[in-house]
Amino acid sequence: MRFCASLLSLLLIFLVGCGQKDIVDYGFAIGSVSINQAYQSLNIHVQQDLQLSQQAQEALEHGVTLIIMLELELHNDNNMMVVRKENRRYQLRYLPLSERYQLAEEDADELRAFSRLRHLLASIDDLNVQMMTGPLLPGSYELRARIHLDESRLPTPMQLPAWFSPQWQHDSEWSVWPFEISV
Amino acid sequence: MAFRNKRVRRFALRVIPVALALVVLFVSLILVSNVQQDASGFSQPYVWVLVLTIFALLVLSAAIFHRVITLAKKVREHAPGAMLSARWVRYFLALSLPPVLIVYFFSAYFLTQTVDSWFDVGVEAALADSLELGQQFLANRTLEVRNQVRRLSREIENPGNDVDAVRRALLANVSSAGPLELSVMEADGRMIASANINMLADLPERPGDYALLQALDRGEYAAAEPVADGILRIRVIQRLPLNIPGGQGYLLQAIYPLPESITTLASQIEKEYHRYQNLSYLREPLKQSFILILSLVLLLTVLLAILAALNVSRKMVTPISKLAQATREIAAGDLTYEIQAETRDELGFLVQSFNEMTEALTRASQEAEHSRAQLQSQSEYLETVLGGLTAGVLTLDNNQKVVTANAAAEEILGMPSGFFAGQSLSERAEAAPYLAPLVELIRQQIGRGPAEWQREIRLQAHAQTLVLLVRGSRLDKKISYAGGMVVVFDDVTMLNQAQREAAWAEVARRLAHEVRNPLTPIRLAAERLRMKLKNKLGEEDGNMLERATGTIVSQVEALRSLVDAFGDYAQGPQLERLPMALDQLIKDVVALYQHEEQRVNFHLKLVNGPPGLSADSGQIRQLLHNLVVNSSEAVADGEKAEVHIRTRLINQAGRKWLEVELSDRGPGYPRAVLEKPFEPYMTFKANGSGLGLAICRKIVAEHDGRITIHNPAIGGACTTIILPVEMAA
Repeated sequence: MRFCASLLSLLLIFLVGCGQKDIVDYGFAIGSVSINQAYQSLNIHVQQDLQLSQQAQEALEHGVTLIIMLELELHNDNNMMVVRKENRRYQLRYLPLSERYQLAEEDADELRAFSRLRHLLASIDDLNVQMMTGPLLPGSYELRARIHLDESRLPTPMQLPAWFSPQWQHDSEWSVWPFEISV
Repeated sequence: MAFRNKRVRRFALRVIPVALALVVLFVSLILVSNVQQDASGFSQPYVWVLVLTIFALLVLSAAIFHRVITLAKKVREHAPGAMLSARWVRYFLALSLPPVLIVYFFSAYFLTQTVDSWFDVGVEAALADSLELGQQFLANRTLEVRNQVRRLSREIENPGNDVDAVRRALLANVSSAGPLELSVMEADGRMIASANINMLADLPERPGDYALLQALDRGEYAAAEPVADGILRIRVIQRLPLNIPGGQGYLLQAIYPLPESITTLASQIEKEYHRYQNLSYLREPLKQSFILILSLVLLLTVLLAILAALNVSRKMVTPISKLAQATREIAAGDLTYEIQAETRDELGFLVQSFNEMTEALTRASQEAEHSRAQLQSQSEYLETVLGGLTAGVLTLDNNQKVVTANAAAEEILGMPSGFFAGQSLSERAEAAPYLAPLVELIRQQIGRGPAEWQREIRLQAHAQTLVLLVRGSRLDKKISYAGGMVVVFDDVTMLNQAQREAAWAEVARRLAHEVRNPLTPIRLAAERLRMKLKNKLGEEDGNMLERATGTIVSQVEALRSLVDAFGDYAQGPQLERLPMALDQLIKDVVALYQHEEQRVNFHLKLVNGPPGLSADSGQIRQLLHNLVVNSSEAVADGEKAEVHIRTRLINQAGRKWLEVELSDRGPGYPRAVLEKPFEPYMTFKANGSGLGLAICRKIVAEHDGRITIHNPAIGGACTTIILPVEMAA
C-alpha cells in the first residue's frame, strides 16, 4: 500500500506541477540594480526581495542545505555579447544545536549565523558585488541579473519533485539593466 | 556493399538500442539493489539513470510502436505470416508479463520496507534527547558566562573618558578559561577598547546587527554562536551603565569558548541529528524516486519483452512467410522463385526441401513445355500439310463434331473459312443443305461402318454438280477423339468430266468413222438410182423416186453434218492462241445474225479488247455461234430472241479474267440439262445433236477457262464464260 501511495503522490506531484500556479507569498525578485563604474571594474548594488516558501523553510529546518544563486551578466548592447559573468552562491543551513540559521558565501570564509531566517534573508537583501571587467569601451551596456534557488544542488531525491512543484519555484527570472559607459 | 550497409543499419537500429536499454536496466537494478546498503550512493547516478532510462524507453517505445503498426497493417492486409506473428507476440507477452509484474510488486514492497526500516522511533528520540542535552548544556553555560559578564560590566566605569583604564580592566579579565576576548564598543558597534588572550589575534569581531539591537533593547545578549568547522562559542553583549544622560551608552562584548571535548561531542550530535533529520525528511521523496526507477525499469522490461516477442516472432515466422510467399509465386507460375535457407534447423530443412521441390517442378514444367512445343510444332506441321493438300480433310469426333477442317475442304465445298470450325455435321447440313449427301454418308459410317471406306458422291451446289471421291478412316482408340473419323475427299468433278468426255470422244470418233464411210456410197447410190430410173419410170413413180432419193440425200447430208459434229467433238486440241480483241469478234458474230431475217436482237455491253487475251479466234467464234444458236432456237417461231452479251474484267483466285455473260429471255435451260449441263447428247431441241454445250465447254476448257450455265431468277438462260487474261507486263 505504501508504494502505491508513493506512486500516487508522485503522480500528484506531476499533476500539481502541470496545474495552474496559486497566489504565492514567496519567491525571489530583484528590486533595483545600481551600477557604478570603477577602475577596470563595476560596483554593482543589487537590491532584492527574498522569501522562502513554507516547503523550502521546512526542508531547511530538516537539514537540507539551500543554495541561493545570484547571476550577473554584462552584455554589450551593440552585439549582445556577454562581456563578463559573475556568479555568487549563498549557502543556507540550519544548525539545530544552536538553533541558528547559518549563511555562508561560497568561495569565502565568512560565516554568519542568525537566530531568525528572515534576518538571514534580510542580510542578503542588499548585495554589493564588484565585477572585474577590465577596461570597458565607451558605449551602451546591459547588466542582466537573476537570483534563484539552485534546484540542482538540492538532494537528488528532491530534485525531480522540485522541478515540478511550484513551492520550489524561487526564481526572479532575468531582469535587464541598461547603462552607459562614458569616455 | 549494400549487404554490408544493411547489416550495419540493422546493427545500429536494433542491436544498439536494445544493448543500451539492457545496460540501463542493469545499472538501474544495481542502483536499486544498493539501496539497502547506503542511500548516499543513490544520489550521483540517479539523474543519469533516470535520463538514460527515459531515453531508452522513448527509443524502445518508438521502435515497438513502429513494429506494432507494421504488424497490424500486415494483419489487415492478410500478409503471409502476419497472423502467426501476432499470435506469437500475444503468447510471448502472456508468458512474460505475469512474472515481471509479480517481481515488480514484490520489489517495490521490499524497497519501501527497506527505506522505512532506516528510521527508528527510538533512535530519533535518542538523537533528539542528545540534542536537547547539548542545548541544555549550552543554555547553562551561556547563563553562567552571562552572570560573569554582568559582574565584569560593573567594574568598567566611564569608558569614554579613560580608554586606557578600560583596556587595562579588560586585559585583567581575559583568561584562557574565558573570556577569550573582551571588548567595549559604542552602540553602533564601533570598538573603543579590546583585549584578547591571544596577543596576535585579529581585531575583535563586530557582532551582528540583531545581537546589537537586542543588547541595546534588552540590556544584554547572550547566545552560543557557530563558527567555522562546527565549533561553537558563546557571545555575550552587556550594556554598560549609562553615565551621560541622553547618550547611547556603551556595550561590553565577551567571547567565551566551549571545552573542546564538549564542542566535539555537541558537533557530532548535531551532525548525526542533522543527517537523521535530513534522511527522515527525504524519506518520501526517496521512496518515490525508487518507485519511479522501479516503474521505469518495469516499463523497460515490458517493452523489451514486447520487442523480444516481436523479434522472436519475426525470426520464427519469416521463413514461414517466405514459404507462403514462395508458394503464391509458384502458384502464379514463377517457378524460378527461390528462398534462401538462413538457418540449419527444421525450418531450414523445410526451406531446402521446398527449393528442391521447386527445382523438380521447374524440370517437370520445362519437360511439359518442351512436349507442348513439340506438340505445337507437330500440330503446325500437320496444319501446314493439311493446308497444302488439295484434298479436303475433315476430322470428326464420335459426336460428329468437326474437330479439324483444312482450307481445301472448305474451298472444295465452296464454304467460307471457318465454316466447319467446332460445328457438328448436322448443324452444317442445316446451314448448307446441299452438303446433305456428304453429311449423311459420314453419319452412316461413323460408329458402325467399316474402319476404312470409300464412296463417290455428287453434290448439287447451285448450278454445278460437284463430284466428290470420299474416303474415310476411323480414328484409333489410342489417339485423341477415339471413335471419330478422318474424312478425306477429292473434287473429281473435272476428272469425272474428263473421263466421260474422253469416253464420249471415243464414241464420237468411232461413230464418225463408222458412219462417215457408208454415207458417200449411200448418197452416190441414191443419186445413181435417180439418174437411171428417172427417165424410165412414169410421172407418178418418177416423182416418188425423186422424193425418195431426195430424202435419202438430205438425210445423208444430215448424217454427214452429225458425223462432222462428232468429228469436231472428238478432235484433239489444235489451238492457235493469238492475241485477239474479243469485243470485235463478238461484234463480227453479231453482224452475221443481224443480216439473217433479224431473228435476234442483240444488246451488247462490252469492254474494249481486252489486251492480254490470247485465244483461238476460230474456236471462240464457234463457241459464240453455238451459244447464239441456242438462244435463237430456244424461242418459238416468229418470235425474236433478245440476247444480252456483256463482258467485263474480274479478279479471281489471284489473277485477271475476262468474264463473258450471254443471256436471253427464253424459256431457259431444261432441268435435265442443268443437272448434266455439258454432257454430250443432252439436248432440248428436236433436231439437236446434243453436242453444242459439250463443244462449248471443250473449247473453253482448252482455253484454260471455265463455263457455267444457270437460269436467272428474272427468266431465260444465262451462260457465263471466264477466260484468263495475261497481266500487262
